[in-house]
Amino acid sequence: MGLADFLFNRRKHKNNNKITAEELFQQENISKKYYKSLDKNIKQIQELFEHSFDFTVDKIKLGDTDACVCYLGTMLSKDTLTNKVLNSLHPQNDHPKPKDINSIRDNYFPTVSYEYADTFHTVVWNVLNGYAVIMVDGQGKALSLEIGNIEKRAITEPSTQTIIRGPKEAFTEDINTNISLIRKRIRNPHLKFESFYVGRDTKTHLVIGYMSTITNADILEEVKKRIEKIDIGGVLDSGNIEELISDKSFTPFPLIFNTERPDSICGHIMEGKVALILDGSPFVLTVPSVLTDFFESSEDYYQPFLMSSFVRLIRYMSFMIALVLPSLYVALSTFHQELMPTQLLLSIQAQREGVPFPAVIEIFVMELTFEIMREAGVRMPRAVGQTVSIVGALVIGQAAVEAGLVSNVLVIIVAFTAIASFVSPIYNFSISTRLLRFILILFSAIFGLYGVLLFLIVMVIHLVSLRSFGVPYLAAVAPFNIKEQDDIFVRFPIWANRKRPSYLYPESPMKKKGKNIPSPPPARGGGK
Amino acid sequence: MSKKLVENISLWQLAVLMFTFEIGSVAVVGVGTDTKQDAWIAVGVATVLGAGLVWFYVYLLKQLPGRNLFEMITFCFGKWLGKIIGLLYVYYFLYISARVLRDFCELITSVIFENTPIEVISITMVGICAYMLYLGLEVFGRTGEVFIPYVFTFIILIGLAILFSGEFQMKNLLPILGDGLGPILKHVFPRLLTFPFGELVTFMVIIPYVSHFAKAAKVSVFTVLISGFIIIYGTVIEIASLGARQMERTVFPLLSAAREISLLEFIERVDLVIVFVVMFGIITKVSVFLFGGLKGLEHIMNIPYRYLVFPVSMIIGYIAIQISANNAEHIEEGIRFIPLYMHIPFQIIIPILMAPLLIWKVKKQKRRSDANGSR
Repeated sequence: MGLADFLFNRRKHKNNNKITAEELFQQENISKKYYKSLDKNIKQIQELFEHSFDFTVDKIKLGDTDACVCYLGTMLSKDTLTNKVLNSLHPQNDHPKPKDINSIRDNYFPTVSYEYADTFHTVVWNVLNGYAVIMVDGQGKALSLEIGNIEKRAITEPSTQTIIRGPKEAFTEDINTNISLIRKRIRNPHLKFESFYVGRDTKTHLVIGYMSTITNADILEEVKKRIEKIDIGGVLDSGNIEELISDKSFTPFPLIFNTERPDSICGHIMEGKVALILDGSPFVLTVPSVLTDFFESSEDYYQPFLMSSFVRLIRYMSFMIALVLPSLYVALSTFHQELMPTQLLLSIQAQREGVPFPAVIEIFVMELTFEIMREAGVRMPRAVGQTVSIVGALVIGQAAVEAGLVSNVLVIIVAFTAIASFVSPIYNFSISTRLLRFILILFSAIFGLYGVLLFLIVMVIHLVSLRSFGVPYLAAVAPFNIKEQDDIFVRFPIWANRKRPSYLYPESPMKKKGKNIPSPPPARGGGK
Repeated sequence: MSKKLVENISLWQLAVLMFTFEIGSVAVVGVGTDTKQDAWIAVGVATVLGAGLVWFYVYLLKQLPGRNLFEMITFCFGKWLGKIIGLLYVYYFLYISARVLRDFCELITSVIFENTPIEVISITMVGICAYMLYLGLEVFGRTGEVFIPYVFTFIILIGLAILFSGEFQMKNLLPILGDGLGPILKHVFPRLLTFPFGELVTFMVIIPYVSHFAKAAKVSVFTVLISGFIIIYGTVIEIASLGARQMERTVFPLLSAAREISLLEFIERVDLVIVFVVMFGIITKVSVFLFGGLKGLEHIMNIPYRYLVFPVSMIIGYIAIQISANNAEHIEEGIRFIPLYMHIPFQIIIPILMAPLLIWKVKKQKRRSDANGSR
């Protein structure tokens, strides 16, 4: 099709993406010039950082030349600053008198990582990034010293995607930690990380990570193009990026995969996907992603393949249950009673006898109540959590049944649906089922089973029309590819899984060459 | 001329669409009921002939690779006569798609929703088809791929379930060829050959968009044989469980057969479920015909078919209701008039007339281009 050709058309690889401070500040009203005179520079930078209590300019003397150190006190560790920078500049240390900025660095800070800033933009950018910038009178450029970073959260266990067996590290808010978590797992020089800055005002660091030997060059090019097109004031979480670069916004299904598990990201990168890591967000994105990705947990690969295949089938099943069970109840109990076995029908109708509402109202109210409880459970302070769960379980569940407002069967159905919707390993996929469930209930209330099927067919049509970075969203199922079926609904043993997904058009399609099936050593006639 | 969006479907998708297309309305109305217990033999004969017919269609398409039925007609008959014949085909495709839609509407309104106006079913169904075709042939093919496992397994399961319910009586199939071959052949031509096999003429609009065109002939013939086999399977189930007499009298034989299923005192009245399995077959069939008509209009009017999808599909929804006053009239038309006045001319006569003209013109063109090349 046109779009695929358009996306996978080989384009010339653009290599240069080093972003300079000039580009970042070009839209802002900041003067660019770095003066030779120290006073002018100090005046300039003090004006810019006016009303910021944490901005400090320490004036010092290097021999008889004036100099100053400026930094944001909140962005760097003061200890390191004192030890590494201020102490060595202290007049009591009798260093030879430096002539120019290069020799200052050589003499005073031979071990500190540094950068020269020859424009005022770079100075400002470095100060904002937690550097200590040393400006010396009469020099054409300033010296920026990288000081140890501020406090960051320790690496903890993942809170949204827990597993039983497998690595228990999760990404944190710090981008460097996150990248190191990935690098630690893939020790390969072809693992590339390219950096971008997004957001007009926030200038947030965004890094894309990929294997240059595996990832398809056109997908990569498309990712870069979309990132460069991002034009927005502020980016605070990778969720913002997700919405800005996905193929289509008007769909309940997530077109971009997110996770806080480094092992899962590494798996995706090794398949030929591109990871997007945003500074300040513990959720890392991968593109392109397909529907089946959202049913795969990284634990599938750590447990025996039979078990994980079974669990995967359970996930698909529970997705369907979460989607259609309430509407099936409405359809069967209002339109197609004859489909139910007589005994079951009798017991359901006996329970519904005292209920004053039609089934659809009943289920709508209960589902809505459940959604409210779920939302409250997420948002409320932990201290009152107990209260809500007791109130929810007792009042909404038991009392409503006893009061004859809803039937017992219905409570079972709502509860089962709710549990089934939590099975999806990726949280934001279950959101789509939540939304669609309500529409489905409405359809089934109007058309019965016919409506349910009508809606499901429309949903499938919508799904197959979706694309994520040019890759069909239902890839490997539609368009069907028999060779991909070793890792879709069931997982074959690791040794049988030799190919990377072909729908990602990887540059090197094979994971490994041979089929090394584990087998016992040849018998040695041990009986003798 | 406006820019054409070139879309491709894979061979597998073509096979899937053909299969569901064949199964589609056959599963609703049943075939060969006139030949009593020999219906399955009639279907078998028709399948072989149908495979030949499909091979002939693809053979025609191979003469002009990359051009669909309408472009071929223009090529053969010239601009104006081509347009007229093309318009006739458009009319034929759209009319048949309305008929197929009506089949399903009758099924729903008589089996499930007795009180629901037929318009509701018609409009919702054709709405889905329109949405799917609006998104393109690719989406159509992929949707087929998603649903084929369900359609296939359910049809196989019905047979097994009837078998396990103990309703499957082989003696209903006897006597084999009790009235000789005569009635069978009479029934095969024109009725069985044209419906469901001859209707594959619509695929002359779709096959040119298959990515591996060279293998299209093999795949189509193979698919026709497979679907013929499945239809035989369904017919045998119907005869064996209902008996020839009852099968003749029921309007929806497969449904009546499925009604016999009773397993574990839990799985009962599955005929409703069958209706919903059939639904996808019908959607495929309506959409294929609709697509044929739309492509024809695109060719004749020179505007992208996407602009026409919604208006034309709404017209189909209306025609489906208006073509006949009630189900009896609808079925009668289908048995008496449609094969003779619509199927045979469009499925057999025009293609056969076109064949020598096409071969001659292609040769002429080739000779001319060879001559140009040597100069």
